[in-house]
Amino acid sequence: VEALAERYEIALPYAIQSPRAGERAGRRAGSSVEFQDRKDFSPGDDLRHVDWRGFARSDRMTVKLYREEIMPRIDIVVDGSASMEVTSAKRLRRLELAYLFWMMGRHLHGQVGCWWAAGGAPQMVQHPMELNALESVRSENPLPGLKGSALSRPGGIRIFISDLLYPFDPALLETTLGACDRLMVVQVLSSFEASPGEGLTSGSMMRLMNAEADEYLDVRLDEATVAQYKKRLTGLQNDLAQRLQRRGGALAVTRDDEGLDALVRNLHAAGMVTL
Amino acid sequence: MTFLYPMGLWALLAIPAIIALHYFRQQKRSQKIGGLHLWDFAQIATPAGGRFDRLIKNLPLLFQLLAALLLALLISGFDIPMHQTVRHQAVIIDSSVSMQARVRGTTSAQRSIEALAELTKDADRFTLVTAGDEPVMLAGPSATREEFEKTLRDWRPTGAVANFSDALNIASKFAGDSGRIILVTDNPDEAGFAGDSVAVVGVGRAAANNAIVFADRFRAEKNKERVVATVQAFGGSRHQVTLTVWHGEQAVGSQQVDLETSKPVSIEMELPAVNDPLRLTLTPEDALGADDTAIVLPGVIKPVRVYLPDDLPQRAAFEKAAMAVKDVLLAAEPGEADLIFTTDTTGPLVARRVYRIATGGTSETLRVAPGRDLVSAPDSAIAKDISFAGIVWPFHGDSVPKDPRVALRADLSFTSVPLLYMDAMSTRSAQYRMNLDLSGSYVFRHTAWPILMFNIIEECREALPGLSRTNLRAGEDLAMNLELDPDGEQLVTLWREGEGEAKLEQQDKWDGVPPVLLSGLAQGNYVLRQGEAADAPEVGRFRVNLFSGGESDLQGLKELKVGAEGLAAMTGMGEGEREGVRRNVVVYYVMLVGLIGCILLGWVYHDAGR
Repeated sequence: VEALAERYEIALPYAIQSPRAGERAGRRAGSSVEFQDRKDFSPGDDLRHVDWRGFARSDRMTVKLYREEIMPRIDIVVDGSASMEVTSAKRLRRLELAYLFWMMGRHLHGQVGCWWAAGGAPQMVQHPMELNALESVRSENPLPGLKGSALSRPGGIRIFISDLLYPFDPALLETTLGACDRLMVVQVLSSFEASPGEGLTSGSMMRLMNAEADEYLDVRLDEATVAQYKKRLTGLQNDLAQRLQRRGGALAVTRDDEGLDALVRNLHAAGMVTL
Repeated sequence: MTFLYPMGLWALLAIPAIIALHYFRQQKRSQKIGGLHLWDFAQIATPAGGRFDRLIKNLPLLFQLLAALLLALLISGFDIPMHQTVRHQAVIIDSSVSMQARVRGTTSAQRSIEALAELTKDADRFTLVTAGDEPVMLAGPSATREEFEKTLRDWRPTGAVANFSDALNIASKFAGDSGRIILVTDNPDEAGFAGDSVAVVGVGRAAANNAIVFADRFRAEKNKERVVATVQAFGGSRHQVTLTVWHGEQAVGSQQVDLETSKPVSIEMELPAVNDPLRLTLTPEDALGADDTAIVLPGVIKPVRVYLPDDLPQRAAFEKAAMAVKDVLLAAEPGEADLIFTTDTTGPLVARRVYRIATGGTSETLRVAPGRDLVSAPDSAIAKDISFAGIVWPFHGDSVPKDPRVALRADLSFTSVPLLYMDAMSTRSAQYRMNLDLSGSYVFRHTAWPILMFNIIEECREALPGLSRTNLRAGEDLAMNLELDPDGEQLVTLWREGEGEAKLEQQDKWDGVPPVLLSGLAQGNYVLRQGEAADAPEVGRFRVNLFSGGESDLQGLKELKVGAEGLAAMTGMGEGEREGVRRNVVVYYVMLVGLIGCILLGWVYHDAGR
């Protein structure tokens, strides 16, 4: 994970709200000493950056553009519900993601916070490895507990790691975590959750145990049922992806049986990380 | 409830295996997922389902468990035997004393019990017949195994012989057509006659043995008696043994002899006369202890009173021969005599035996010609042990009976002419006719004469009331002539004295016909009494010792082990009968149908548990 964090970095949003003064050069022109470009003066531009010498030579009033220096705030929100631990691989993948983003955030010299969301108010941890010691909670939906928390404040980058397999309301996601510069959601699924028919004879009976409640469902995993499930899962993912993209966000999906390389490729493909 | 093949019960291990597989399969077939809402196009079932639902879901497991149970029971031969299908084991066990022989730590009797325990099953029913002097049914018919084994534990073999044929007759009757006969003996070679339908089990072990094979005692003089014994070695090399005579706890005589195998050695000791029993012991100790001890009672003295009339021709010759016999007295009057020799041919029978001697008439013409011998009856007590070859026996032709059938028993005859014969008898007396020309005979000078007189006197002594002998060998017949008190009970009872109370062995109503014959008696002290009570008046006392060379000879004994399989093969029994129980067909089919039903129902409800 650390090697990957060296190679990749979190893709920053074009307009990052806060904090402006940072160590990281922003994509926008800012107030750093590093000259980036020139542009024609327009009202409202900082007069201190007008290129007076150029104006004297050409009568064009231009403004020197300097590269923006930013210190991004990155909040990694980890779903702490029991559903994230239906397999040990899924639990590990959650941890790997949190650590990866945490390391990448640290490389950006950003303010990186790691949060444990398990239904109630989010709990902040100093290091993602501490997540390993926290007990998951049977909570169908961790989002309501985030309302009014520090994660609802505007600005920054938010990365939400969850399986989204609870009765999911995209609007609630937007109201709880959406007030940021960029919301990135990583859906972590077990191999069965991602593709239930794999490795099984078509028509096999299967008892699906809900990790969040004392209920189960006996289903026959025939092709139609699997297709119906996949259709609904894909619909959920597409809907969420579109919503996120409209706000500059991104959705990536990863399976717990994928290797780390595949994981990063998915994140890269979703625009969450860059080389 | 029985199990023909109890090892089959190991198949019950399939039950926990099925439960484990079921659990494992359930585990494999269930999948924990993050949420069900994407699956809500199917109905969600919760554990709070009704009892019926849970029952239905568990039906395949229940049917599988039931099928495994039934299969295990079928394999193990589970059976509820019906009473009429119980196997009957008719067991004949050799009850001769050689079964007591202890060789290499155990006796044949102990090995019999062990062998029978191996060969029989709990569900069997038993008839136990011992083959001793006489067959005795000790247990059964249809005794349980518990009763059978308890009887065996209490059983002690003491017979002088093993009477297999009579025991086999009895056992065959109880075994019937479906029963099995097992014959257990220490000498299986002797049981070969039993045939293929009888399983012979050998429990004997060959060994060397020394034994007292005969003992008796006689009054030699007034204050002295002789103890005679015969000892013999059976097998082994040369033995030095010691025979000791005990009076109570005191040894009164002892003699050491060297024995060679199979050669009997007679030992005679003259001892002070006592009226108590004497005990004889043979040392050193050997395989069979029962034949190393004998008890001898004092001999019987039955004097015979002989009356010889003064006018009896050749009276001196009669008297001389008579007085040479032990315990003979001369009677002064015919009324006091037991035995009378007289020339009076018609007088009353006043004595136990009367010999009427023919007189008168010529004897010349019917003189026995040389070379034509007298003939004695083979079973004659009077003429036995006498060689009449060459004897000239002059007799009176006028006294020869016109009808030879008048002779009830001809002891001595010449061609068809009876010369010494009995022609009258009553319950107590007998009359003999002796056609001998006393005046012209030189029979008196012949060696046959004293023997003839001896036999006549002893035959008379036998006919006297009371026992003739007091020391018998086991299985021997005892001839006796009892004359009971006419005022007492006319019932003779025979009591065997042991450590506890005397045991009534036989009884016979006295109908005045002597002798009472006792046969097949086992070792022990016996008392004859007139009357039914144990304290009725005593009329005789005798002792039976083993004295059986056949039982003392342990050289031919052998073991012949027969397992359950061998037993079944020997008696030609089928698979189901091998264990002694015929399968209950109803139970078998119920289990089979149940098994098939469980398999089918398990298949029908196959999906219910998922």
